[in-house]
Amino acid sequence: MQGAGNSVAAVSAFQESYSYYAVGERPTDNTGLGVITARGATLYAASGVTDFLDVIVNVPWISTGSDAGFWETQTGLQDVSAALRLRPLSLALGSQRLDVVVAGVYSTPMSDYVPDLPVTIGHQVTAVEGRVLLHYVTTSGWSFTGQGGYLGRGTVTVDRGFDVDAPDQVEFWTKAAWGDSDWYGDVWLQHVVPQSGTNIGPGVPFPSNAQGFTRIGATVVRHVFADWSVVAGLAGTLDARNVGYATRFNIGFVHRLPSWSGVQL
Amino acid sequence: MRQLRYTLNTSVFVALCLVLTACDGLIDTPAVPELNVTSADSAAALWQPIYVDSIDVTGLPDPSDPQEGLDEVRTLAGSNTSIRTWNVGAVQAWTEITCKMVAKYNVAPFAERAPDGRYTGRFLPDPQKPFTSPPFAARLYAMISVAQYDALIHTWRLKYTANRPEPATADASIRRAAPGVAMPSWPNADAVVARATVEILATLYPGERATLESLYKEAVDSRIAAGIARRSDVIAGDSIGKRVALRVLQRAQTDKFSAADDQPRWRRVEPTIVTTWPRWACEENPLRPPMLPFFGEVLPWHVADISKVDPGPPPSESDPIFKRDLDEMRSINDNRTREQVRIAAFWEDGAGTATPPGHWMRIAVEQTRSSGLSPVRSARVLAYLATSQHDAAVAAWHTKYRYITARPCTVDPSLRMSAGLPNFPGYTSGHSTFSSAAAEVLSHFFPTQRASYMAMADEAAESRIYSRIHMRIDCEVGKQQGQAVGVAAVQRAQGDAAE
Repeated sequence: MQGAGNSVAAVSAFQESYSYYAVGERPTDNTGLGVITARGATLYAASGVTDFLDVIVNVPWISTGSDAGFWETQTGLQDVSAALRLRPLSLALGSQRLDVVVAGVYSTPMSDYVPDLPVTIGHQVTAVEGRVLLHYVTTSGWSFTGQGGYLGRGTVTVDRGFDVDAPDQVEFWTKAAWGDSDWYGDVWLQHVVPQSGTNIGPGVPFPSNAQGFTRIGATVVRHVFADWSVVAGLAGTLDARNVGYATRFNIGFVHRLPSWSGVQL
Repeated sequence: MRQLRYTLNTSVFVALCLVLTACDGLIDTPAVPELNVTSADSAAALWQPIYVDSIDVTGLPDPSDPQEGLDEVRTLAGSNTSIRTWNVGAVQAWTEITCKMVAKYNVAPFAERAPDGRYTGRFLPDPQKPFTSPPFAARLYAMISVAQYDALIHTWRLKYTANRPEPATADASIRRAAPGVAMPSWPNADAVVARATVEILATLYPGERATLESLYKEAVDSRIAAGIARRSDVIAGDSIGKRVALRVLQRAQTDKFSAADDQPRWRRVEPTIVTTWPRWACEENPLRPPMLPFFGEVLPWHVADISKVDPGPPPSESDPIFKRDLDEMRSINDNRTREQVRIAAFWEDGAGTATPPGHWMRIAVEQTRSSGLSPVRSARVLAYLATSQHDAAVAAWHTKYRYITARPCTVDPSLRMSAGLPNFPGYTSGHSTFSSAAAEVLSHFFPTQRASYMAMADEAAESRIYSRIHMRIDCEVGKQQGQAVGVAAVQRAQGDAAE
C-alpha cells in the first residue's frame, strides 16, 4: 500500500517479442510472420487515499509489427486500467506482518484499434477483474505475495461484422521480493488460465481465442537520487496457450510525487 | 523506498494465425427466424431447370392413399424437438450448412517440414480435406444450388400431379407445426433439398458423410413430426434429390476442374506469357504453387465463351493509370482510415471463411427468408446467384493467369496490408468480379434492392484497394467483368418461365 497521501508515477518502456507461439498448446512458428515484436510505453500512477486504500491508473501505448510478410504494423493507445486496492486486514505476527489486500480493476480500450488481426495490440475488450492478495512482510526486508484473480471480459465487435465473446481468465501470481532503502528486487511467477474460448485457426476471430500462459520474471529497482528511481524488468514464457512464447524487457523511471494529506478517517 | 513496489500490468497478448487448423462446430443450430412462405409457387412445375431437364421417376412410393403413414406422423409429433430448428427453410438451412462446410475446409495444404524444421518444398493436400479455395467454393455452391433448384422443379411437377395432401390436411387431428402455406406433400421438398446437398457435400468431403447423414435424418424426421410429410413423402424426396445430385456430379466429372491445378503444365505455360506490366510472383515463404492456374478453363454455367468476358491486358508499367494506382496504394498505406480498415476486414472472407461467394450466398439467403419465398423460388435465386459466382471465378481466373499481373506488394515491397495476401495474380480482382456478378443477379430478382446491392458490390471492390491487395484497375475491370457474367446469368433466368 502507498500510505495516505503518498503517490508515485512511473513511465516505462518495454519490448516483447517472439517467433514461436502456441496454437492451442502446440508450439509453432510461421515464416510468413517471422518475429513478432511489440514495443511500447506505459504510464503508471498510484496514490494512497488512506493508509488502506490506493487508487491506481495505468495507460499503455503499444506498437506491434512483424519482421516478415506484409502485415501492417499496429500502433496506438491500448486499454486504460483503473484499480482500487484495499487492505481490509493487516495482522501483526510478532515482528512480521501479514496483509490481506483486495483489488478491483476496470479496463477499457482507449482507442479504436483493430483487434482481429494476426498482428495487433490488444483485444478491444472491456474487462473487470477482482483480485485477492496475501502479502507477508518480514523485518529483514523480505516479503512474499500470493495473488488470485478472476478477469471477466465482455464481447468484442470485430470488423467482420459480428460479436464474439472474449474468454474470461483466472490468474494466479506469486512473488518473492527483497528491498532496503536503495534497492528493491523481486522474482515472480504468473499463471493465467482461460475459462473458455477457441484455438487460433483460419477464420477464428482472434479475440475469441482461449489465451493462457505461465510466465516468470524479475524486477530490479534502484534508488538513484532524491525521489527518483530506475526500474528494470525481464520476463519469459514457460508455457503458452494461443499466445506467443514471448520474452519481455522493460526499463523505466519511478518518481515519488509530493505528498498530499490523503483522506483522514 | 518500499513505496516503490508496484505492479505494471501491461502484458501484451499478441495472438497470431496463419497456422492451419480447422475449427470445430461445423453446424450450429440456426439462430434465425422461421421461414414463413407466402406462396406455394405451384406454377414452378412449368419452370425450366438449369441443367437436369428430366429425371427418371420410376420406383417412387405410391402417393395415392392420403391416410398412409399417418401413424408415424402422430408418433413423432409428440417427441421431436427439432421442428423449429428446421422451420428456417430447407434451402436456407442447407445453404448455411454448405457455407460452414466451405469455411471448415477453406484451409490451404500444410507446407511439409523435415525433422530439422526446414521446409521440403512439398505441400500436403489431404484427399479427405480438399482445399476449399474461392474458386473451389464457387463451383461447389453452384453444384449444390443447381441440384437443389432443378430437383425442386421436378418435385413441383410431381407434387402438382399427385396432389397428395399434407398429413395435417388429411387428418384434422394432426397439428401443423410449421409456418407458411400448405402444399402437396409428395415428394417432400425438405428431403429433396437435404439429399441433394448431402450427396454432393459427402462426395467432395467424404469424411463428413456421417455428420451430414445425421443432420439429414434430423431434418426429415422433423418434417414428419411437424405434420407436413409422411415417411413415404420423404423417401420420394430423397430419391429425387439423389437422382438429380448424381447428374450434377456427373457434370462435375467432365467440367475440367480436375485439370485446374496442373502445375507441371503451368510451369511450361508461364514462361511463354509476355508482359509489359509487373509480373506476379509468389510472396509466401516457403514458395507455394499458384492456386488453380487453369480454373479459367473450367466449364461455365451461363457464359458461352469465357474469352468474351476477357477484359484485355492490364496497363503497362509506363501507362499513367499504373502510376495513378500505385500512388493510390502508397497513399492508402500511409493515410488509411479506420473505416477503410473495417471495410477491408468486412469483405475479406479469407482463410477459414465461407469465401466471397459464400458471403453473397448468405446475403441472398437472408433476402429469400425476409421475402418469404417458396422453397423452389428461393432455390432459383440461389442457383442463379451461385452459378454466376462460379462463372465469375472462371472469368477472373482466366484473366489472372492469362496476364499474371503482380500484386501491389511485389511492385513496391514497402507496402503493407491489412488482409491476407492470396497466392495468385492480381488482375482482375476476384472479389470485384464475384460481387458485381452477385449484385447484378440479386438486383434482377429483387429490383427494389438494386441500389443497395450495387453499393455493396462497390464497397467489396474498394475493400481490396483499402487492404492493398489490389490496384484500383484490378477492381474497376473486375467489376465490369463481373457485371457481364451477371448479365449472362440473368438472361438465362429470364427464359426459364419463372419470371
